[in-house]
Amino acid sequence: MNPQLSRRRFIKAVIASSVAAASNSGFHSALAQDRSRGAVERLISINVNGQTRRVDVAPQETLAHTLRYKLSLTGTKIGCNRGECGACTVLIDGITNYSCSTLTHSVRTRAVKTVEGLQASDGTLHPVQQAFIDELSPQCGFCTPGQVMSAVALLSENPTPTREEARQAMSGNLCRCGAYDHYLNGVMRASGQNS
Amino acid sequence: MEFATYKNDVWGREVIRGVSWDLLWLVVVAAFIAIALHAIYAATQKRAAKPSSEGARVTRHDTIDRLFHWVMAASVFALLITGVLPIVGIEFAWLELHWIAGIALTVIVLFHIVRAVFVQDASEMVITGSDLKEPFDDAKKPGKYSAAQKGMHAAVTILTLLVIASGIVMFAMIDTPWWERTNSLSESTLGLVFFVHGISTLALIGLICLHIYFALRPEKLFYTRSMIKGWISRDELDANHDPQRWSPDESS
Amino acid sequence: MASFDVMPDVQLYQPVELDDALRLAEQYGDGGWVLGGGQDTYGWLKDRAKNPQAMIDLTGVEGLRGIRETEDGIEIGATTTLREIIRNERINSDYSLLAQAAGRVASPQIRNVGTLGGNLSQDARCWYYRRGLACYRAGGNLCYADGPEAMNREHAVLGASRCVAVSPSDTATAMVALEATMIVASTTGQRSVAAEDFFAGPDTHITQMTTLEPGEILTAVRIPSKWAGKRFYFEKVADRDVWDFALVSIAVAMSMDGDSIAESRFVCGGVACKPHRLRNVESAVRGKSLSDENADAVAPLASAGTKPLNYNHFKLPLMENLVRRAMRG
Ligand SMILES: Cc1cc2nc3c(=O)[nH]c(=O)nc-3n(C[C@H](O)[C@H](O)[C@H](O)COP(=O)(O)OP(=O)(O)OC[C@H]3O[C@@H](n4cnc5c(N)ncnc54)[C@H](O)[C@@H]3O)c2cc1C
Ligand code: FES
Ligand code: FES
Repeated sequence: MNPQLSRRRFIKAVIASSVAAASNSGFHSALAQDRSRGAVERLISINVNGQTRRVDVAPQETLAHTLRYKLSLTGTKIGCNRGECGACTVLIDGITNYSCSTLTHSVRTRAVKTVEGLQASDGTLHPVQQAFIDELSPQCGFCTPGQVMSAVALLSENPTPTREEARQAMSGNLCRCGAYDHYLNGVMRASGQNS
Repeated sequence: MEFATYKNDVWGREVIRGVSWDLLWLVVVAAFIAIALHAIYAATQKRAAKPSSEGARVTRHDTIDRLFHWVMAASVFALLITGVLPIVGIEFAWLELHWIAGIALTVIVLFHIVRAVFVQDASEMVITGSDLKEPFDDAKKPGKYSAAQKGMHAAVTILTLLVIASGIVMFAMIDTPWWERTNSLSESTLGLVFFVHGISTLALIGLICLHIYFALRPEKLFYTRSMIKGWISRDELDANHDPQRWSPDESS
Repeated sequence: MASFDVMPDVQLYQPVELDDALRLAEQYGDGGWVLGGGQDTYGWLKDRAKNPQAMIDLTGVEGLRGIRETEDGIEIGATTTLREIIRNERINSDYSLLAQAAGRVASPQIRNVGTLGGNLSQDARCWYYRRGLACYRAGGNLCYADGPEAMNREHAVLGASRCVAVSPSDTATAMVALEATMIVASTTGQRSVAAEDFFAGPDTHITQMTTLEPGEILTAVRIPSKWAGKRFYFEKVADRDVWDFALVSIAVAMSMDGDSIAESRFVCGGVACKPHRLRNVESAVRGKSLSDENADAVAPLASAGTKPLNYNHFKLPLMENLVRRAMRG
């Protein structure tokens, strides 16, 4: 085997075991050798809304679960828990993901943004949030956090989408109330185009 | 170790699914242990002088019966290969070959039953009280078939009929050129059918291992020859059979 | 059958080297579960319909990701996301068939994380099977989708053997049309297999959709230059434009000789357990030009040999019409 590769693996293993020692985590049972091959630690740091949060995460835990029940970020909703509705949409490195279908362990080195992280420090709402209010986009509001995140991702990549482009970008978010057109109006308004 | 595997049916009730194929290894290992033990035992026994195959010959198996035996053997092997290899992980399109061989086996077994009942002397194969004493009494010699041969035949008969009967039910559950499958059995009944098919297959595998072993043993090889060529020598007849109980015709 | 909101207890490995991933896959065998984006995985686990002991996340293995040039075409790493494929310039200019197919998978969020390897290796979507019933595909002894009362609108019209599930993957049809080659690794080495032979039917592999064995990992897909920049047609018909799987889809690659078709590949998805090549259509259109008359002439061939179930006769005219649309001038 390539010696460089095995050295890298060795270094990773050392880091993993020193983290284990530092965190004094008695619950982690995997052997050091197991860890070197990528078995995960439970006590990890994740970057959410610009803050580094230390959190105890089971290997199989989904990001939606961690956000809502460990970090109390309940703005992210769980609708179907199956990747079929979009209520749980968050941004990971700027890209929309279903947090119900993402393992928290897979975002350790990445930046998560939830609907709580959108407003400015002085409380000013994100333009998308403001536009959704102005357009009366939400009806019951359950799908709204997900809709907001999809719209934010779209506009950061494509500041002036056509209505069709917006429709495509928002297509992974169901709205039980059927307020789709109102959300599209909101997206167009947030992009500075007349809806 | 479990004999059967179970599953939940659509209503969530536990029902039988079929035989546990882990038993396959058990059966094969058990058969080989039995064979090894017998071979060791036989090696320690004083061997009687081998009767000569020269000289006058008598007929043991008619051509048609020999043909039956080998066609049946071929279909059984085809069934085992197509049925068991996919289970042990060798994947190929086996289903059609399997049921074609199954039809062949069914037809030939029916033929044999008709012939045995109406043409041959079926009493030759019936196990009687004196057969049971035969293995323990050196002075007692069998008629046409030894107690062991009759026992083997009886076991194979029962298992083959079970495997055929369950196989026919399973055949009705798949699409064929003549009908579309019905899915008409309850899940527990279907599981039972699969179990019967599987367990009788496993028992047959064990018996076939023993059968082949005995067919190849030096002192029994003349029976195998008779299944190929039809005859045994007068010497072999006298050494192994009781002329009062079996007096075959001279072979041409 | 109970439905659970949370994931079951299962170990997670995030190896960074392919060797480690392969060793883990071998060590766990049937109990291991290779993970791409996980979009076809978590539902199984949340429903407790599949219960692996360990998930082996491939997305940390750098060498498995990305789109590279090869001497004869391109190679796409197995953990390359569908998003990356849809946005890749080379693919859009030369293999737009694949970009179009990938663009019709599921929803934007699923395409953002779903990997090519996962999309090609995904399991059947028959709901009886997904429900966790012990059907043939799950090692049982009957097919719930093919009975007198079974709901089988989405199921196979071709190539069924006991099980009537269909191939759900949208990129699979494109890969067969483009004559891609799958690179499969295990601890004992590497093999390459033509896309057409990678997907497996129930006659040979009733519990699998592909010829991948436990312990094997799909590492990359190679697409030859043969069809680069040729004429393509892709269309997927589904109940909704987002999320839903293909009722019938078609991926077509045609190399034109002037006005007429020199060679072509017509591949249907959603009709059989693996991507279904319409060989009779392929030979009938050879030398023909794209026109409404020729489209009408060859379309009926598309549904030859089909055997619909109770509720999926509609797939036959759908197949024919998709061929017709691919052949229009
Ligand atoms: C609501 C919903 C709608 C969907 N709609 C569609 C659709 O319209 N069209 C479509 O094609 N798909 C659809 N999918 C299926 C699937 O989620 C996506 O196709 C996705 O691309 C799967 O990729 P993944 O990486 O997330 O798969 P994973 O879940 O990570 O993997 C899927 C399977 O492949 C195996 N696997 C993954 N990578 C490898 C590898 N490199 N080597 C060997 N085995 C591997 C895994 O073990 C697993 O069994 C849908 C899924 C959902 C939940
Ligand atoms: S809760 Fe995640 S998509 Fe519905
Ligand atoms: S506003 Fe009610 S679900 Fe969308």
